[in-house]
Amino acid sequence: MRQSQPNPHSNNFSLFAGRLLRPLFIIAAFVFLCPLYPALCAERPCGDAYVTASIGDAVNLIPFLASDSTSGSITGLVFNGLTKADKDLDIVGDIAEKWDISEDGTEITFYLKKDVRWHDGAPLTAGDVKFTFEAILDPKNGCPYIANYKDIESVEVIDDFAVRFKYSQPYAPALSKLGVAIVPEHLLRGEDLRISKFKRDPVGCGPYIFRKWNTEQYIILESNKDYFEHRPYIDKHITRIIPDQAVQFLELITGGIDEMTLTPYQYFYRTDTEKFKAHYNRYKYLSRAYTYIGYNLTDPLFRDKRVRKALSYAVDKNEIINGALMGLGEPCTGPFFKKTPYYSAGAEGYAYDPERARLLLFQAGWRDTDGDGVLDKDGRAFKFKLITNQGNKDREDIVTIIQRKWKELGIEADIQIIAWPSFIKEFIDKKNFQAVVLGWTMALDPDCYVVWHSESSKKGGLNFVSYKNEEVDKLIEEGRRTFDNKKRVEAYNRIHEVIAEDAPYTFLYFPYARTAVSKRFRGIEPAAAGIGYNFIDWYVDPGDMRY
Amino acid sequence: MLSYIIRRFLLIIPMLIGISLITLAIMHLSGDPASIKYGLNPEIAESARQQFREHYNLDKPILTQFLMWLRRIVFLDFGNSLIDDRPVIEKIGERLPATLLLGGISILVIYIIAIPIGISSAVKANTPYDRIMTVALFIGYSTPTFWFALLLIMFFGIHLGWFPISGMRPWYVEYYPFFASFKDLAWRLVLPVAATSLVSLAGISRYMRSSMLEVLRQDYIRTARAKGLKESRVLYKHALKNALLPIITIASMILPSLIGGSFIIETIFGWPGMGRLGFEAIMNYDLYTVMGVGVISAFLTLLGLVLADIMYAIVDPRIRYDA
Repeated sequence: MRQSQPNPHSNNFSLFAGRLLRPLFIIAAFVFLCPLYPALCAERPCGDAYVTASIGDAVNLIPFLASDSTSGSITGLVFNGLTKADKDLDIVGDIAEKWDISEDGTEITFYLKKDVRWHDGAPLTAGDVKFTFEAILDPKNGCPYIANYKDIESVEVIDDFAVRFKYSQPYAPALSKLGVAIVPEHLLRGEDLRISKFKRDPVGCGPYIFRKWNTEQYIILESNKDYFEHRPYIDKHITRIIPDQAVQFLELITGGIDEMTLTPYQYFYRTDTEKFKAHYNRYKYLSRAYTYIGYNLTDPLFRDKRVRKALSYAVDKNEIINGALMGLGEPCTGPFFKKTPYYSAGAEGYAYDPERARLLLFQAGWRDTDGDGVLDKDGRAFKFKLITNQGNKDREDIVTIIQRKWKELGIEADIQIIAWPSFIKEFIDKKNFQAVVLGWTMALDPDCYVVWHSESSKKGGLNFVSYKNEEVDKLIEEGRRTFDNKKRVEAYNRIHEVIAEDAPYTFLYFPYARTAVSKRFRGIEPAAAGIGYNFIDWYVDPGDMRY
Repeated sequence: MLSYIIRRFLLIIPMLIGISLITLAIMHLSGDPASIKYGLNPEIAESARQQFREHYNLDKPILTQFLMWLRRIVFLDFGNSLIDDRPVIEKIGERLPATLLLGGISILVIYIIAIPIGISSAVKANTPYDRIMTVALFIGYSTPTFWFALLLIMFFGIHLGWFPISGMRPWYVEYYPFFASFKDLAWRLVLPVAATSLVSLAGISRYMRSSMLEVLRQDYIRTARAKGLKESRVLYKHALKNALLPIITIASMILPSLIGGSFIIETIFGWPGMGRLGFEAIMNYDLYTVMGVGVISAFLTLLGLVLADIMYAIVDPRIRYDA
């Protein structure tokens, strides 16, 4: 057994050593010298605390009512769903042992694991599952994701550990959407979820138990020693709310926090030192998000596909990645996540090619007849407004880089940077724009109906560039209706290729997520899903433990 | 006097109604809380946004919304936050103590330092001491708070390691309550108070200096000196009492900032106060929280002004409101 007393001197950032560790030391001595204690953890040492930082406080800890990232990461540790994504982003069972899909694809039956218990000791049963989805579908609870479940006709409890979902039509994204966290019926039945105390004092069945939320200061979780997979090796999970990223960084290097998301600047300049690397590991992995230039296809300027292609060829993605992101991104060619099979390697990528752009513009009839340096056609100069939202420095840098590149071709883009509220209300929702730089985050499932289907181009829909392509519409519907993953891969690869060819967007890049984690945490294995997916397997060697 | 006070208090009511109506109108001018909250999230359908608007009556005409809000406010119900559906009053109650603590101590520190500086600058007016003080104070006044705050953190928090960098309470007080001592809190207050005080120091001490100079030129001071009184008695008994009058008004002006808190200081030091609550509410178009914070700050401002008037009457027997 490798258990020993934690040694405060092993920590080089010993700001807290004197004030915090001395009393801890005495307590730790008792705990670690107790011969029964190590027997609780079979494979790896248990103990210590993981302190992470978040810019904003959590909002609501009822998982399906929260839409912010802090609440999401807390509820992710406190609750479980029927399914989850594994490290390769494949859907696997979580509290579901297995599932059957009926031949016509409208019925999915889940068989639950029998040893799952709520943190108060009650067993998790099919009744909880039924209750959760009824709560999601009840409009008065205000679940923002309600549209993902609108095809559910009924949820039927077969026995305590089997539950059947009936859909009005086959819906392939169901398997990932049904991964939403399950909440305990026995604590919530009859409660008004909107004002229930549960949203600030949740009881789940996950690897961590909620302990304390001190508004705008910290949220404390403790390991669930009876977790059905295994006891998490790290005893406490602390989220500190530190609203300034510069201060987060100072807290990181003095040991006040163990993990933070780095800005590209911090990643590139502040953390690339021997001293930093001696104490922290840096991780970068692709985010499930992409940034793009969107063209309003109802604007006469952008109706000609050749023009859109020319604009795409004229943009140097690598220059943007290097200039705005300090190299921390990868070029993107279509609307699916690069680490999944749905992303087609064969799609047109629009590598930087100004000559080809010039040729396409010439073919489309654009030339500089009056010699003022700006292309024109039928008396109209090639000028338009390029907008993006305020407060996103990457995008503000990107529009400047793009403007210069287009100018080399004789295209004049006027940049406007608009505050988010009016950006959405006055420009995007009303389709009152010509070209826009924006980004999408991608759900686990490749279904892209809300962004690319022609139905979504109606007012208020997210297909605000008004992209309409019958083949894509048909493929999107097909992809939703079949559970055969091979067919889905084919459909989405084709969608990717068609959209790339039509060039309604110039796809720019997938950014890297950038994280620094204290070196004392071991067992971190970066994968397509990032690093957090196996948090319960992380551990700290007894000699390195701090808390 | 009493009737004057009652009249002043009654006047607060129409002013509050006006202020809250203007706040609501401004919030409505641009932006839709539903699209701020759910942004361009492809997972969230338009129907959910619509449901959100209906739940909070955001789809109703602005005057109807205002009347509904007024009707509730009579019963001191400020409505629920659009962000997390909690009662606004509960959210304010959670934040107010942190802000009052930081603001109260800062004001105390500012006055304790600024008044002696002001007096000594006035007494030694136009000497090298006065000039050096003037330059130093103006440097302090022109220093950007966020920059000074970060410098404090870098030097005292990191290089010297004397003070914690951010946060009001450390998370481990949940496990080791002996850290929840008064000493720990005092320790955590030092840097934020220092950063808050720097900028206001200049203003108050300059007011004190000019007010003191003004008084020192008066005939009664000359008389006091002519009587052969000790200089210290002239300064502290005769001059100071009168010179402090304008400082009282300024104190009442500071009250709203004491309640409102400072977004910048609170963000940098991770202080869970009103400044961040108000700022985040504005950024999220959280109408009812903005109006709640607005009404409470406006009320306290108006209250501060009334108090200043009353204090005037108390300290200066020449001022009478009854006429």
